[in-house]
Amino acid sequence: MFDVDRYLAVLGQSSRPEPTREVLALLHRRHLATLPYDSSLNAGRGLALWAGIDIDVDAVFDEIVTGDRGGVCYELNGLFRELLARLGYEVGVLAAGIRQVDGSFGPDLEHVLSFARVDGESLLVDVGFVGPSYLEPLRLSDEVQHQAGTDFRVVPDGGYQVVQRRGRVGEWQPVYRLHPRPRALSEWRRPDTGLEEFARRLAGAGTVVRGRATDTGQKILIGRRLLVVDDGKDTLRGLVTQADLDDAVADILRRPA
Amino acid sequence: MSDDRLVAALRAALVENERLRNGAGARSEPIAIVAAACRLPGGVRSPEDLWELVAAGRDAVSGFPTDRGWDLGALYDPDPGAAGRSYVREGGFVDGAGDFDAGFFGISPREALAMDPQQRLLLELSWELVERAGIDPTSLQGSDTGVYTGVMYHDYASGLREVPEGLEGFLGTGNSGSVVSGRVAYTLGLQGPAITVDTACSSSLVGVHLAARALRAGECSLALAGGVALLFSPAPFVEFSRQRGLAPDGRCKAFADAADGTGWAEGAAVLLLERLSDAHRNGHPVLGLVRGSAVNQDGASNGLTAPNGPAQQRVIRRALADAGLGPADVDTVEGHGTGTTLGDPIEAQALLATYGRERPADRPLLLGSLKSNIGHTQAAAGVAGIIKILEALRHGVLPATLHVDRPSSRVDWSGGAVELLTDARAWRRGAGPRRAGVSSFGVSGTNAHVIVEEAPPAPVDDGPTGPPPGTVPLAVSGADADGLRAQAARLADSLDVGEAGLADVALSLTTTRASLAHRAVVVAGSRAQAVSGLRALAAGRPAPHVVTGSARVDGRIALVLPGQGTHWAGMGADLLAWPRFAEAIDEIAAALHPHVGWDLRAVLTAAPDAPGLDRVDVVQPASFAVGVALARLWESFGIRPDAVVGHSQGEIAAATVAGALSVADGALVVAVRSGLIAQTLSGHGGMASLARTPADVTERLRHRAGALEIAAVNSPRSVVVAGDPDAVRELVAEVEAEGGRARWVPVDYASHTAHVEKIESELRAALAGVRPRTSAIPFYSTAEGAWVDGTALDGGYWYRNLRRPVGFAAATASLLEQGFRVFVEAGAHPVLTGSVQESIDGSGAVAAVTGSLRREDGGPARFLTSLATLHVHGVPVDWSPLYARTSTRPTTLPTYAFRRRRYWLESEAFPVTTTSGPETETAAAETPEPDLAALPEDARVAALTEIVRADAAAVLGHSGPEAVAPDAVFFETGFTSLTAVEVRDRLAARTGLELPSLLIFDHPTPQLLADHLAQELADVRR
Repeated sequence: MFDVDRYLAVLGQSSRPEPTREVLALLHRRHLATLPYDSSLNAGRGLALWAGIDIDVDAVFDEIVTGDRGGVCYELNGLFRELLARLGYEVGVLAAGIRQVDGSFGPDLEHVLSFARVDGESLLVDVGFVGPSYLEPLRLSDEVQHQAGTDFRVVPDGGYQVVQRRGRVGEWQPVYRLHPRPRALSEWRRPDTGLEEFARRLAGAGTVVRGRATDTGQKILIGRRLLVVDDGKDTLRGLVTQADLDDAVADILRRPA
Repeated sequence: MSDDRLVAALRAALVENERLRNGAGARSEPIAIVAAACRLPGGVRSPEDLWELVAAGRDAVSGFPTDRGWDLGALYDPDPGAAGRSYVREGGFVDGAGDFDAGFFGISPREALAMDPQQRLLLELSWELVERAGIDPTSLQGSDTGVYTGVMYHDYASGLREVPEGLEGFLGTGNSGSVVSGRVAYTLGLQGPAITVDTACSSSLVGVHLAARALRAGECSLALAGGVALLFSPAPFVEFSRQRGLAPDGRCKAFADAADGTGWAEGAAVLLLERLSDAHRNGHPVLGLVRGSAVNQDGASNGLTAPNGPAQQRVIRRALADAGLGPADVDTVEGHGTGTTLGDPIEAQALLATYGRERPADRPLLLGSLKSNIGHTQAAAGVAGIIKILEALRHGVLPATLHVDRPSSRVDWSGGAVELLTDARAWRRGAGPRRAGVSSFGVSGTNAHVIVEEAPPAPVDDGPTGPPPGTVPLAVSGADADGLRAQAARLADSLDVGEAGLADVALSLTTTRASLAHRAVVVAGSRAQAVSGLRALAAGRPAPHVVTGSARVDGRIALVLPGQGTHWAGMGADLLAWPRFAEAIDEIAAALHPHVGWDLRAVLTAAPDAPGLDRVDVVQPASFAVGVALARLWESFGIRPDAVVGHSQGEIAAATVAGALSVADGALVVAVRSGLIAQTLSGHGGMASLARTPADVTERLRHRAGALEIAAVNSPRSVVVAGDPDAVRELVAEVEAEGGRARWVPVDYASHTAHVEKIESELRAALAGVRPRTSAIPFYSTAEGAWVDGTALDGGYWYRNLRRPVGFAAATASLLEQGFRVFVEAGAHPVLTGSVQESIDGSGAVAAVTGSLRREDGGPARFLTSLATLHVHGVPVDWSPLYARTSTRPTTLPTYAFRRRRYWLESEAFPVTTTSGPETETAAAETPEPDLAALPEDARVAALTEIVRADAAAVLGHSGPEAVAPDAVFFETGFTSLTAVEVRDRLAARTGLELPSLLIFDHPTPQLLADHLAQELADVRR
């Protein structure tokens, strides 16, 4: 059963805070560091990857917040949106196409995230994305926003707003692109061949993606490739042995190894 | 003549006599054979292998090789008259004659393909030879070592119709005889004479003769001498078939009645030669001596290629004269003995006429020939014969010569005392040392004879006899990661079966082997630990006390002396057994004695009556002592700092190590100052370390002005604050609430704040007598943020050091900027290595950082592991103090595990004329597409692994698949998401499978990916 106080306790807050920008940033960070992303559930969902997009907040709360599993984008962001709303924030749904490994972008509805309106400004809120990405809400601005050794900015490009990231070394890299207009969850129920084809390819790959934030960055496990982002520095490692893989999964899902 | 002039004349005469004696001594000095190495038919890869073969009476002659493009079907014709055909179809061949570890020698696959395999074989064999002498091959760089190499075949690339693409420019040097010796000299950096000798079948023995002469003449101090012969085409068989000079069965029946011709074979054999006195002085093994040698010519004989008996007699007599010996002083002759009906009788008669005379009838000369086992290895034959003799000396047995039905009836054996070795015989020492003559006669008429003598007794070992160290570093290395792992496996195997002491092995690894780029050290206290560590290394598994790295760090060394927080009960106690450490501790204990009421050794060993480290006036002097003693220990192992830098109170130890403070003054400063802190400041403050940037902390301190100050900036994101305990507590809580890391420093005072102003005047007064000096090692001050001359480190400085914040991050950054690349923290537990690493990471420099000891892990094993950390990164370490005064001695080690791949230019098939392109193994071009479906499971995975490696290498822009090892992790070898997709695209195209773009995310190495692809292909077929 969805419980604001238990939720806040899991995120390390002992009392109900005021809906300020600072509190939002703190909860966002804590959420990413506490509740991991885990795509392994998609494996059982076939091509109906977005069927459960309108989550049952009570059931998913029990499984993820007080249970011990990770979640996918619409679960984690759905729960967080509910929390923020109950704390008095004005929130809504956004959708994004994620930059793929070949440099292209996924379909517009691929990824579900949120926005929150604070002090009259809309901020991107996303605790359901494996990253590497922002740890605190992002302003929709092409000004550089610095977070934990990493730079972010949001730049317009061909009708989209593209979230870009730049670590301590390297160039600006797109994270995902979006139209900054609120979405209705019913949009995902319309037939969409682009989305279906995308789901088919994803299902074919079967690669499991998991991740969680740390104090200074993120740990992202894609298949057997572990990316550790620490203070803006990316370290890649291939986990060749099962033991190394198990350790990494246990660490990310916060389970005993 | 006056007395004076007489004395002067006598003195001059004495000097002249001495000079003559030295000259004569040098001219006749025996030449020591300090190592031997060979590749011969029958899978012989070492002198030991050769002994096994001859001792067992094995015959190594086999069918023609199938891997050289010879048209075996068309080649054979039993009719000796058939043009272009060979009536022989067997010979002695070297296994893997085309295989080579090109990467090890820094040779590109393309050049390796164009290079004569004789050059390549000689390179590997030369490296191995030097290793077998217990000499680090890289240590010969720039020495006056000579190279004398016999070569007679120059036709590797001669069958090419046209030069294959990409090989032009390499074929010239790659196939020149001169470059066979020149390339060895070039690769090892040898500056003595490098000479290629071609006297046909006597080449290698002539090489030995020339090398011995050059050594005696002082032209070189060490020489590699040997020869190589590989058969690139069947032409020698065809040619000799016409002359009917070959035994139809390919066997040399030396000196036998059944002799019916010679049998061609391949081989490579080399010796390392050194003047005997040098070999003894350098501690090199002496396998035997070249006691004397001679070379001559047949002259205008019976025919250009016909042997000349009188010339052979003369060369034997000259060699005996060179050795100062008579015929009876030699027990046996390893004959040329090729098994020809013409040559063998002439040789036997010459032996009968020389060695057969002038000797007792009951001690006949024993005659044998290695050619009966392996065939005629031509340019390598003479040295191969010497290696057989060296092994026979070692084992005390003269092995049997094969295929002798009865001694040749064409020889009058009654002409002297010569007997054929038809059976193996014990080889016992008579009146003098055992000796053998070795003969080689070239087809062009150049004869050589060498007299080999058993090694004299080694000089008495009167070295130290203390017990060897219990814990030792086993250092192994490879030119690449695979080589390192293969080497670890070899060493583990040899430790499994060998009897050499572990310390002897450890010593030998660091003194008799090259330290190549990819390095690892296993620190072991027992053979079992050593083997398990090496096995882990070979399997690529991490293991405790095993460090690996690559020698990429190049720069100056900074010694870092830490401040608070390194101590633990028992720190340093386990190192007191090491004299250098104990001496330093005792020196400091004596210096502390006038100022403290306790005993340093008692404190370090946590003796029951000693005060605890919870007292600031105990822990600071004790940490000072351990820091200074560790610095001395590092220095004794060759880690001499180019600068010292101290953190807070660590600056007192740093100044002492630098020589700015005497040990007495260092002890005074640390004892007096910590005493004042204990009396006056203790209980009034607190300190905490925060994982926050300096800017962030400055911001937080703004509204806490007066209560808190920044005490130290350790790294760009690690700051220490100090001040009133309540304020520290509140700030720690604030940072923790944000999820940040904050840690109390376990002290109850506030250094580097206004608190310490209370003791300023008292401290200055107490330290007024400190007499700082210009330091021997530059001192970078973290209190001043600059290099400081030692004379400035007076009492006033030691107050400022306590009052001002510690600019450690700035100091580290500045040192990095000034080219410091090695940071060694001399403390009982590393507290600054993390901060240094952060600064290194931020700077992008390739640098190494290590601590010394660790909490509860403060003995020799940990210190050696710390030393090893530097060694594997390329910092030269002097391991010798570990073995000083002990009975540890160099021992035999496995040689380098070359990672060979085949490179072979296929010549035009002979005699049938069909053109075939070169068999390019140079990957990145086009890898031939094997029919995967037709292959059995194992072979399919292997083929797929090769395909994956080739594609991965190509995408990364490497010239060949060897750049991507089968177990290389893609994302650690330079892959990005984009290049990952390229590999996927290539593999999808090759296999026809639909493959996901995240393919190599899931299957992170070529091997794992090949397994997966094989599975996918099998699934598709089902």
